[in-house]
Amino acid sequence: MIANFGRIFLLIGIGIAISACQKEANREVVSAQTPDGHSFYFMPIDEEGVTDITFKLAWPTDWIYQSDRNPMVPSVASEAIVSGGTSDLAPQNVMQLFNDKNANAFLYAGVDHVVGELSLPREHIDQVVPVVGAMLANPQFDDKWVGRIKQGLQARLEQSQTQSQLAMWDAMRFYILGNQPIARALSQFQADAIDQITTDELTDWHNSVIVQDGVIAVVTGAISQKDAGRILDQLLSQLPNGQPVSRPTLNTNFEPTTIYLHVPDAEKTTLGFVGALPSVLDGNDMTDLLALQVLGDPVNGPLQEAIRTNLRATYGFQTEFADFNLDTRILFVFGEVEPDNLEQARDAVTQVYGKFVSDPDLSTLPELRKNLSDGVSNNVEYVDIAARTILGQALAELDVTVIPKLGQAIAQITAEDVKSRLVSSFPKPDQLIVIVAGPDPDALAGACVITNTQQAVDCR
Amino acid sequence: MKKLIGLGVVLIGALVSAFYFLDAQSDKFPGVMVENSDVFDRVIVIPDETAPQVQTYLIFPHGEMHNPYAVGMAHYVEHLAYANMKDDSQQPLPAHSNAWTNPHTTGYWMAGPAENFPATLRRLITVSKPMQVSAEYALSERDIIQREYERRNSENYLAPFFNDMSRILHNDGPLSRSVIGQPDDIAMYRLDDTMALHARSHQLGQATLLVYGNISHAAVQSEMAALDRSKPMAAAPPRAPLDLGPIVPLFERKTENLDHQAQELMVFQQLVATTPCANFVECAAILSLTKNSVDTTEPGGIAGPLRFDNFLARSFDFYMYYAAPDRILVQFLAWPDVDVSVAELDQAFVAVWNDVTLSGIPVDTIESKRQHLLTDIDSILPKDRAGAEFSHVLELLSQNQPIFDLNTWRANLQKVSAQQVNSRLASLHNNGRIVIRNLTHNPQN
Repeated sequence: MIANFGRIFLLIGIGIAISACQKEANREVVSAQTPDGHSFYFMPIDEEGVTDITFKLAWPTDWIYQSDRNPMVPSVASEAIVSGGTSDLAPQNVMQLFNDKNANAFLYAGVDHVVGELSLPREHIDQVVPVVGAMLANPQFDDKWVGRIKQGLQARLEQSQTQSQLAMWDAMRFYILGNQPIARALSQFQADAIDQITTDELTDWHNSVIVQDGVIAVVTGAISQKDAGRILDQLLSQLPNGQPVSRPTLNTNFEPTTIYLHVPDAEKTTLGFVGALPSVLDGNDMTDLLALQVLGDPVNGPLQEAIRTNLRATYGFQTEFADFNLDTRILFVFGEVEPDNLEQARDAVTQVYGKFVSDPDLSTLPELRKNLSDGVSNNVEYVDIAARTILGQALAELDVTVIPKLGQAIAQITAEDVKSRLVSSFPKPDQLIVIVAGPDPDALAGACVITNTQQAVDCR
Repeated sequence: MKKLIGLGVVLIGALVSAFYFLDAQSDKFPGVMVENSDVFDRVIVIPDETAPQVQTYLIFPHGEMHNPYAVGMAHYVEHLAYANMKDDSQQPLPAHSNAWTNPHTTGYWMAGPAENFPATLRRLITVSKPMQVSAEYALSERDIIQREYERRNSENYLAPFFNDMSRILHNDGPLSRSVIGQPDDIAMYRLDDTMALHARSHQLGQATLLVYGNISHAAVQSEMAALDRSKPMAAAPPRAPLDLGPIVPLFERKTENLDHQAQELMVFQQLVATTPCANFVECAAILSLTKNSVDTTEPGGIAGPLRFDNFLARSFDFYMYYAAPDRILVQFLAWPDVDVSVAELDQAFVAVWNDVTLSGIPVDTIESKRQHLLTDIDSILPKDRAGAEFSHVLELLSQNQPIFDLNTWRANLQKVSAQQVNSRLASLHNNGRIVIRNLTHNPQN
């Protein structure tokens, strides 16, 4: 995983839609309050056949910004809370209940928030919600169960270290973030920290993060606003009060350089480019996404034309963006390249990118825009995807009421909007960090050659 | 925990093991028009007024298992045939277009507005025409596939073990062939072999045209009629069934040393011969319900003894599907729990599997799993129904399996008896070829 992905990715995929409530405006997002005074965003879906409801909750956290805290605790604790059962129900009984009731719950520890989701048919609220409430309020950090989770996470992280491309992104994070605690938390190479996690730390994390206060909540689907508020209170009322959390400032270094991560056993050479983009808070991520889709279009895109069709040096280059946190977004461009053509590929990508951010050919934009617009319009119709998208918008402190019509908004983005954004907000080609992972340390003249990912800090 | 499964996942998960005969009667196949064609083997149209565009697929029933040349060459042919579409016109291909090769089929698709359908159809047909790409381009495409191999297969510590298991399980037969090949194979692809394979595998008369989206059946028929027949395509020769060879019983267990950073894993594969069904939809429904009844925390399932009642497997995956109409493949992958060796996990699974296949699954568990499968189908909203039928048909076509609709699938799931499930399990007991690999950091244990 490169980083904490942005809300765009919440739109991708298909969920199951569902139904019916009262005479509240169908598919209109409103701000509401529970009887106990918790704020939440609410979007009823009163349509034939729709019976599902999704609850999304986001708890602010600064845990992994702190140097005195084990950065792997949130991941282990989150998994244990939703999989470890309750004081009355063993893990398999909870799983059985959820299977029987067609319900789904998960908890994900991000950088700035811990995000929970519960989706279920409305007819099973009474059976499922009390169990989820018990899991949130009184998690079972059973030694054996937690040991299993720790072992699984550790094994997955250790295995990821065998992938030279993942190591390359790890080095990139250390270069940009330095030795701040968040770099360690996002690293694939901190598996040893998992061993040191204690039950006390899990409990401490739970008590300080999964609290009543400061929660950003969203409810969508076949439910009335009144019932949604009542159930949110049911989920939150057993939790302790919490302290306000402010988002720490992240220090970043995007000074352009060239880094070569020497991995003697690497079976391929990967070439990557990284630069800073305006954060998700800027509110232009759909325009940025369209720009990157034009650049990286695997059929007619300029990178494909230059590096695959003409230079014959790659299967394809991917163009994406990702968020380290709410304030820090990167764009990245990467692909496996023919080792003997590494320098030519680097120069060709730089040239194509430079032309693209100054004088782009946007002739493929209409088709890509229609595909994105149609896809988003379709996906936000699903109860769970709507809730995720509304939450993403809320966390980015943007207008949530646009979400039901987000596809239409995308359709209005013009070529001039994209070009203007490319020229004004995308990094120039000489502002990009070039990073390579491969088996030949002499492959790229002038590169800062490193042999482990943390050494990237020394390339600053 | 069970997710409210997305549409595609529902269909793929439920139907991955399906093998059915096509019932081409349109009145029995509501919303899915199947007809014969003088250009293609058949044309399938699934209209959906709510779809934003039209998706057009051309699927040839030839995959890597039918390739007699160097390993992976079917995939190389697909790359060159896709490039053929570009050479025929100065117009760019739609951004939404691509191709695939798998053991069973090779397919090409494009998506776009309905008004582009005539041009799309003509473009797709060019994949079957003689290669227009230059020899220089064709040979350099081998380098592109080397890069694709790197993206998909390099630094994959499991790949050598799975390749070895597949070779043994399928006795070096057609089903054991790697779709992408190895770097040494790729470097040796010859153009004359490539052209020969292309001519053999890309016969329009053997292909299925699948059209889904906001287009009418009449509009597709009209375009079919307008296709230029002045240069008739060569008639496709009848295709002889591929000989997959007999399933000679085998039990092979090996312990292999893993890189210290890779996750320890136990892999169990079993290939069992079965009589091809007279009615495959029935057999597929039995196998699907059997798989789901085994892979559960409910009484009789394997999750209890392996993962919950005992801490043996930290997690596991279980698959059961028809590898071909006359053979069923069972696969179990499991990651050992804390302080459990892969060998201990292996012994535990084999004991549980023997017990399940011998004793069967309780009726209540089978009924419960049947209801889950039916609910998955019933929860498809009316507006999503045509899309669901399309995903379902595409999945079957891509596996070169006879097609059927969701109503047929549902009706057959309802008909399966507990006795049929347990008979199917009994047929797997200590039967066929069994290959086990214990992948560990401590092979001496």
